[in-house]
Amino acid sequence: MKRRNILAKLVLVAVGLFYVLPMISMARFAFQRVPVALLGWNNLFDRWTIRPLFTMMGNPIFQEAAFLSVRLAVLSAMLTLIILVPTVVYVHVSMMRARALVEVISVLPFVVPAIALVVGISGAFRELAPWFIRSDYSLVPFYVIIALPYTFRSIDNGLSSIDVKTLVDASRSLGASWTRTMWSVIVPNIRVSVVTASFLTMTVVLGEFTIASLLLKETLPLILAQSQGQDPQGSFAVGLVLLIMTASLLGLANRFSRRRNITQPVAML
Amino acid sequence: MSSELSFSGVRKTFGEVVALDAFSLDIQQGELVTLLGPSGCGKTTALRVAAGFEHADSGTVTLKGVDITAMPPNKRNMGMVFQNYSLFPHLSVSENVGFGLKIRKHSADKRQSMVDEIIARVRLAGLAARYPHQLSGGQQQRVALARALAITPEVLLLDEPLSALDAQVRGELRDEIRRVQKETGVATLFVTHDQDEALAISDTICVMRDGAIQQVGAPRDVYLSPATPFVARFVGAMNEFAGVVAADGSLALDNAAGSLAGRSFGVGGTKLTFLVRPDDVVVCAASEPGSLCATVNTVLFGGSTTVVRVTLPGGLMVGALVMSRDVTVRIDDVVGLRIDITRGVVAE
Repeated sequence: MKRRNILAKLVLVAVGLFYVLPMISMARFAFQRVPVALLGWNNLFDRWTIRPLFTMMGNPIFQEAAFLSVRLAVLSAMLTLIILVPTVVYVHVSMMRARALVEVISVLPFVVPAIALVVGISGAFRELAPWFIRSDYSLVPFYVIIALPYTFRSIDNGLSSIDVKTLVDASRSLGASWTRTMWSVIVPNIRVSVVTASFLTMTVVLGEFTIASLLLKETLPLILAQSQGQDPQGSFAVGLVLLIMTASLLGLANRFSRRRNITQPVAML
Repeated sequence: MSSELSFSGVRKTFGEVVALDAFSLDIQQGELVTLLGPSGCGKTTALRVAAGFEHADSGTVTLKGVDITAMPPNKRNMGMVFQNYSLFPHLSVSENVGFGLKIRKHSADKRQSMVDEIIARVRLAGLAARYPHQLSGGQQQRVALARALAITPEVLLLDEPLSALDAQVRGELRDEIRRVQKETGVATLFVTHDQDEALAISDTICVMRDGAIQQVGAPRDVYLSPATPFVARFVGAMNEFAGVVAADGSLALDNAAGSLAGRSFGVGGTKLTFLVRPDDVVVCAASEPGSLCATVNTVLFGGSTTVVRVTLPGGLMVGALVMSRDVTVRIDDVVGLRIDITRGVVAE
């Protein structure tokens, strides 16, 4: 037993190092003005500065890209919730037998390569609505799709922990419309799942490169990739901050999903 | 008098399964009607059709003469109490009870006074600020009842509201439901599989089986004069005397256990079973003429009444309900059984 505990801890440390060491390297490259060739134990903590971060963030092109990515993240999260929450509620209330099929559909974005998705959809819209493909916001539906495997599970887990059908019936019997039932009864009881799904969507959006690149949109990940040649330190600095931000978002999402609000219990029975 | 709620020839199927078949029932103002039957008999389906959660394949449902068959559930003004409480976990007791009133756009003051009144009516004053997870099962069900009544419904629908509660709480809440229903005078449709509950609480019992009505009547009539063998067996305990009708019309019991005479059971040679309640079986002296000979097997004391179980020749077990103060027999005593053959139901 003791040997197993030690082994488990060793694995945990190894995984932690595997994750943290590249970030430390990124931080050293981004924030320390000492070339690698000259780096030694005696100057390991010398000449650290966060100026590269501010330089990058002061760049108008970077600011525009960051602002665009944030807008896309928020819009994608909103669209995900608007489409997914009512759909999954409907599945739970009226189509439980189809839940397995819906679950399979939700993981299709893993199977379909991003390039196939973009080529297929943009090809169709170029004929039907070219103005849509030209707009930066054409990325939103793509982001909703690629975030689907994560967001569906989050919402589905939240709904599985409450008696959705009975809550809906109770609400309707008291005179509430479907909209009122969703807003006043269902969503407050899956708030944790809704927040988690939002965080997950934002995380996906802030890190997505392929689709934005294929559609020639200047989102934050694209600008960072392009900046590597001109301002590598700035690019790495922002990349590291972004990595920490998305990791924090995921950590918060995980914490939310575990935390049970004492005044708003998730499970009824 | 026009019915408050009326089912007329309602049929509902789920694929191949016929959940309701030509279901017709009227519920009057102030009446508590219980749908009683085993699992799968269609009683909950009937309730859900009334509530609007299921749509009838054919037939009509009317409320005060208005056809509501196709009306969505949120327009029917029916209060419903569910088996598993169904309180909104994120709302307090007060907010749960006031939910329907908020939808109906009552002012905050009026809503609060109505909520306070109904909470007091179900004897939950002082718990208004609590949340469902802070309440016991019985308290949660009282809140559910208050919430359903707060909207002043035309009809109150109760879907096995006591099933999830323990025996003592069940009894208390059953009486509470009846008291509140009488006070408010609301027409009520109550679904249960528990016959004791149905007999205790109802003005009218509707016994169902396989989607069809077997009998509708007052609890006393359903118990004492069951219309079919199914009703006889389902509502209350029954002794079953199987045998063959003799030439003189008496019933010759199987395994030479004796015979039941004094009425004609039908055509000679017919095989049938005669169902008799333990209340209609009297334990007497073995020497009494016309009695069946039996040996006492068990004596089950149940407070004011005792069930004396006897074995007839051939192994047939019969139960007799006796007032405890009149019990004089012991196990292995040889006794006589006198059956009231004017009661009971013949099953072929």
